[in-house]
Formats: sequence, C-alpha cells, structure tokens
Amino acid sequence: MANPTYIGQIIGQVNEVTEHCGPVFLYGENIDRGSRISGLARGLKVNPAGRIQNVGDCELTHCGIGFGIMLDGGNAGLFVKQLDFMLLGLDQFANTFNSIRAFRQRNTLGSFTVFVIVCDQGYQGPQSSFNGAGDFASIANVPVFCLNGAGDASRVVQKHFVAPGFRMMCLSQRLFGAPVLDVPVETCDEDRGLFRYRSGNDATIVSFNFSLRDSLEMDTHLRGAGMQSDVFHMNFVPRMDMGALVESCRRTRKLVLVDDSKTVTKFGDRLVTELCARGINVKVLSFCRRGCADTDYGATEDRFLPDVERVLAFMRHPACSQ
Amino acid sequence: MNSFSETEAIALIRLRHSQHQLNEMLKAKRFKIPIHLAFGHEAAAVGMDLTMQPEDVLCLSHRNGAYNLARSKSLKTVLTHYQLEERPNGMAQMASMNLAVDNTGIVYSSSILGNNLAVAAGIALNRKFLQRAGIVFVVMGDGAMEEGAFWETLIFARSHKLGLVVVVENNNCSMSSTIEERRYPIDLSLVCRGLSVIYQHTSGAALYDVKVALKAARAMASDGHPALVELEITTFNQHAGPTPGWADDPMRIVLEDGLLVGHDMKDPLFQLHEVLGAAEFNRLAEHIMKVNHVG
Ligand SMILES: Cc1ncc(C[n+]2csc(CCOP(=O)(O)OP(=O)(O)O)c2C)c(N)n1
Repeated sequence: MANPTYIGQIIGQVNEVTEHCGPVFLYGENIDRGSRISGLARGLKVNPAGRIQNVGDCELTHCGIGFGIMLDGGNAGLFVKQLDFMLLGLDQFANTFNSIRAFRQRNTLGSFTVFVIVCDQGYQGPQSSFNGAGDFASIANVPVFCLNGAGDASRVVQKHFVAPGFRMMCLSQRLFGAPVLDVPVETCDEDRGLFRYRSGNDATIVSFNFSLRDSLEMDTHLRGAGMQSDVFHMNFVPRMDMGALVESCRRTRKLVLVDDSKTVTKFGDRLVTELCARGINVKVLSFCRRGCADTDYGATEDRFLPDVERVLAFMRHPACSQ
Repeated sequence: MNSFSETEAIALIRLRHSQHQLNEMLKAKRFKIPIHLAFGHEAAAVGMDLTMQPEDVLCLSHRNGAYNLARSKSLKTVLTHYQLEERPNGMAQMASMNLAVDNTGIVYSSSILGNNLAVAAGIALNRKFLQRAGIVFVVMGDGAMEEGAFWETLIFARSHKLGLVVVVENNNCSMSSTIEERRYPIDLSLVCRGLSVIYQHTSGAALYDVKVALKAARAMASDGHPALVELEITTFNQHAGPTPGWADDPMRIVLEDGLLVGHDMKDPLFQLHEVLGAAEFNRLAEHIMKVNHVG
C-alpha cells in the first residue's frame, strides 16, 4: 500500500497474523458496524476459521471473556474504543491474570490481546482523557505496548498477537490519520520492550507512551546543531532488561526522558533509579506531565510539546563526570 | 424423601467428614490461610460432581472447598494446597480461595465476587466457537449476585447462546449480613424470565433435587440455552475460619458430637440419616471416617 496511515499500517499487520493463525475470535462493541470503533477495526479480516463478532456494552465481561478463551486454549482479540473503558476490566487484568500466571504453564494457554485506542487527541472532555497506558502495566504487571510507528508495530504485532499469554496493544487516536512513521529500527530486544531508532554519543533520549515522533523530532533538531543521540522507545514489559539503556547512559551521561502520559508514576523514574543504583552519574532532563492541573482535564486539544530550546540548553551544559 | 445410592451416601459422608476434620484443624490453628468451609453445601457439591461430564468444566468462588473435595475425592490432596506444599514445575501454591485442584475439571476459582462469571462465559464461548464439547458450570453466592458482573454475564451468555450453567448458592448470607439486612430481595425467576435465561430452583440440601435441577440445566445449556440454578442452602459454619469462631459464638460444630450439624431437612446429611436410618447411617459413617481420617 502506498503511504499507509498509522492505523492502516497496524491493521495491515494484524491482518497478516489473522490470515494464517487459524481460529481467532476478534470481538468488540460495533467491531463490524458503523465507523468500526472509530476506525480501529476498519479493514480487519480473519481467515475462514476465525470470527469477527459484534458484542454488547459490558467491558468488564469482555475482559473476563478474553481470559476464559485463553484459559481454554483459544485465541482472543478484544478491540476497544477508549483506554478508560478498560478501567472497568482492571479486576480481570490484575486478579484473573495473576491467578492464571501463578497456576498455569504458559504453553498450555491460548492468547488474549487487547487492542485499545488511547484518546490523546483532546476535545473529548474530562472523561475520555485518561492516557496512561503504562498504568495498566504497573497495576497488573502485564505487558503493555504503545504502537508508535511501522517498525515497532510490525515487530510487536507479529511477535505477540496470538502468542500464548496476555498483553495490551495501545494505539494513539491522535495519530490515526497521520502517515505512518517509518523510521528504521536499529535494534530491539526479544520481548519487543525496547527499540532503538538512532544512535550517538551526546545524549540518551527515551520515549514513552506515544512520544516517539516528538523524540525523533527533537533528535533531528539536535543533529541540526551537530549533536548525535541514542533514541529509544520503551514499552512496559515486566522484568524488562534495561541493559541497553544503562549502557547508553553510561556512555552519554545525559538522559532526556519524553513521556506524554499524564500518569504520576513514570517509568522513566525506574530507569533513573536503576542508574543511581549502579552508581552511574547522569544529567537528566524530563519532559513529562506528572499528573496535571485539574483544568488540564478539560475539552481542549491534548497536545504535549517538548520544548526544543530547553533541550538545546540542556545539551550545552557539560555532562556529569564519571 | 428420595433414596440415595451407596456411592452418593459415601460421597456425602466423606465430604462432611472431611469438612469436620478441616474445622478441627482450623480450631487448632493448623493453617496460615483463610478457609471457607461449606457445611450444608454437601448435596450441592456432590450433585455437581455427579452431573458433570468428563468434558465439562467448573469455575468456583472463594467457597470452593466442598467442590474441590467432592471432585478430587481426596482430603489429602486438598490439604497439600492448604498446607502450602511445593508444587511441581515451579507453579505457585493455590492455597484456598483460588483452589482449583488439577484433573478435577475445576479450571478456575476466584476470590473476587462475580469475577469467575465472565471467565466461565469466555470458556463457554470458546467451546462454542471451536465446536468443542463441554458445558461450563459456574458457582456463586447470593452476595456475588449483587455485582454488576452477574448481570453482564447473563446478558452476554444469553446473547451468544452459550453452554453455561450459573449456580447460585443462596444461603441468605454475605459474610455477616442476611439479604434483608443488606438489600431488597431479588426474584431470580423474574430476572431470568426477563433475560430469557432458563431458571431452576430447588433445595440445595436435597441431593436428588440438586441432581435433577443440574441435569436439566445442563441439557438446556447443551442446546445453547444458558441456565441459572438457584439452590436454597443453609451454611452452618461461620463465613470463614473455624466454627465456633470465638468463645461465645452461638454457632458450634464439633466432630465429637457426630457428623450431623443440623437436625432438620436443611442439613443434607440429616436427610441421608433419615432415609438410611440411624443404624445404617452410623455403620457407614464409622467405616468411611476410618478410611478418610487424615490425622
Ligand atoms: C468484589 C468483592 N467484594 C467484596 C468481597 C468480600 N467478600 C468476600 S466473601 C463475601 C460474601 C459473599 O457472599 P456470597 O456471594 O453470598 O457467598 P458466600 O460467602 O455466602 O458463600 C464478601 C462480601 C470480595 N471478595 N469481592
């Protein structure tokens, strides 16, 4: 397909899996009706043994259904219009999955994948503005992937969708109609938790949630000013190996964290703690919304803009010594 | 009153005796974990065991001990979980509230009220989607019925014509509250009528009636009509832990006093006692208690 959109590319990846994976049960509210969940399920296909099933409005049950299918050895894919709807399923993500992971060998399980839109475009009003995909990872200790571009989406979907176990794959509503971000992936780990897109010795830039475009733009500015950085995107994967990030920070001594989620607990903090624990001295610049003022939850544009001037100023300061 | 086969009589007595032993161990503080006994639920559990076919599965709640004992037929096996013995292949200990003994058809037990319903519906959906045999039974209480998940699951199961049987053990109790003390009474027959879900109602103390209700519900569920079976049950023990639970607890259960805990038809073992007669009941009980004793 010429110049696919962000969502078009992801659905293409999903279809590549569903074409060959045998029985798979894809379900969601209005999954095959109207706008197809604001476009999330438009163009979705399954092989003849699969099913695309419209279901009623009961998200808690949908989450339990997915785990039931997984327990019974089947493959389930739940398509959801808003991340906040999944708050209704938190009991299932935490309690049901805790029980399954404790008592069952992974290779005896089927799969359960939630594809969910994060309403990060704004204008939706206070009740649709929850955008902290990582909060689910933190509460339930489950893998949560934020699909940012072609490179990560293809690798995450191909590796994890219909693989035994549970995970969430989050999509940014703001990016739906945008041309797909097609920046080559330099490296990624086995679990698809950590992707590196660019490399250099001047800083380590780490993107979270849906900040990859902003991070790459920032890096482009820095390159224009003659500075080369490592640019990573980090997903929320339990027990993730942070070795590559640590190695990068040890080398650059400058860490820029970019996180557009409104969550209070930041996964970047974990990296900083890890660096401290290893005695690695780094200067840190954090672009994030650590929670928001109450007024930020209104119906305005929900745009998080890292300030390039601040990065340039930060980069001009000398790095920490060893 | 209906008669009992020898197998049924043995199953009821063994289950009651196992619960008595657990109660005595609880009094002696032999466990680190909370245990929810189910004196009075024996006919429900044995009835379930006799109704389930090899391809069927069962999802349970926190009060799962009687079903695990009835299905595994082994107090020793259940005790390995209660005593937190190591499990093979690095699997975690199940303890009590999430106990689902291997190879019993019990696939999931949840301590979160209403949580097991959606999981059970998911298994039933998968069976239907993959055209695999087997009915899914899910057991809950009159307290869990108040959770939103209960209503969602009934609607979902009916909409997708799932092979699901929901068993409500109505013991008029949620921890320390009767229904009257906590909410307006709910007529489940009307709820089921409104949702076009098959409804069965019977005494949960009468093994024969339980079997008839579960068998009928299973048959309907096999035809894609989800069913709900409401069992009127008396729970003779405290919500959790030993009974008596404290020094002046009016509830008392003591193995030395004999197997019966109630002296009317609310106690499934009393029903057996009435049918067999005291002499035969005591003869059988003595034999089973010897074999089932775990020390
Ligand atoms: C979601 C949830 N809320 C509250 C509880 C605390 N709780 C544990 S058992 C129980 C009573 C449940 O009553 P019922 O469903 O009738 O089962 P019973 O204990 O009588 O067998 C309660 C309220 C819980 N486990 N889960």
